[in-house]
Amino acid sequence: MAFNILLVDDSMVALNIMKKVISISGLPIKNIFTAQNGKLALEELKKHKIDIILTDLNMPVMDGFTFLTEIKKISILSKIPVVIVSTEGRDQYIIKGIKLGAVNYIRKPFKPEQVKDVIVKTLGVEIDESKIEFAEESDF
Amino acid sequence: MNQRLNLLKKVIFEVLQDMFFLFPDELDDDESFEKADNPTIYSFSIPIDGNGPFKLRFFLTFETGKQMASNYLGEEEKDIDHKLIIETFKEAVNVLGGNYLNIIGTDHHLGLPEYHDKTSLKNILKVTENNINNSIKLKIEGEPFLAIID
Repeated sequence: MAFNILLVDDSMVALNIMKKVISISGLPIKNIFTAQNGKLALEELKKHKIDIILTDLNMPVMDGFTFLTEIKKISILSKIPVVIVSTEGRDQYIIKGIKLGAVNYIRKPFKPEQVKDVIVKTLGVEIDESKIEFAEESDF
Repeated sequence: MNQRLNLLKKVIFEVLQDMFFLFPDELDDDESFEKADNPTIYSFSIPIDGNGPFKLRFFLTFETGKQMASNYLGEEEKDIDHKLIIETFKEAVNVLGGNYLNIIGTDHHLGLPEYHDKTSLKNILKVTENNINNSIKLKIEGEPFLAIID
């Protein structure tokens, strides 16, 4: 089974890096959708069936916490697992994210393996090892 | 150098190494950017909001920006343009600001990174002279890289 992923980050370069990391991770991915704030992400969720969301916190228009709160209000969306990907690593931010319903937290800069591991754990997927292309110890 | 400035320097070294494979050096005691050419400088800032708000400001050359974007995005330097440098360093500023807040242990929160107009090194050095106790002067492969807690 292949999965649809929604990436939410106001930085276009961060979105591109995340897409690249996920594309070479060996994960069974059907489509990767992107949005540059929570409001646009809600629009994407109306258009596509999404299996997992990775969202930044610090964004204009609608930040990650508000986005998380909004999707938890909509029953059809509330079951989609949300992973926060943020530079914020302080306990109060992590606890707030988990309380609002996030299932995991990745702190920037991250290693590609962290993203892969969190998605694998969250979705319970199996990896095609032959498709993994991580080459060096890099953080993004 | 005060403790907050030391912590910012630590974060700069870590983030530049881990995200961009760049290894900054401190200026030697007798070394000065004033002797160098007067390159165009890209200027960025990120507001740190809350009780006693402040800004982190960062200044780098086109050459350093190009190298950072190339290393981060995995693109050749010839394919890196002005827009990619700005987008890449805005993300860098976001990570620098977030990681700085993670270690200073206050209740401040991060604003959104901003790019300001390009300026000259001489103008920036005047600013750092006026903020001598709050500024960090580094070099990356000989190019100036400056930061100010403002």
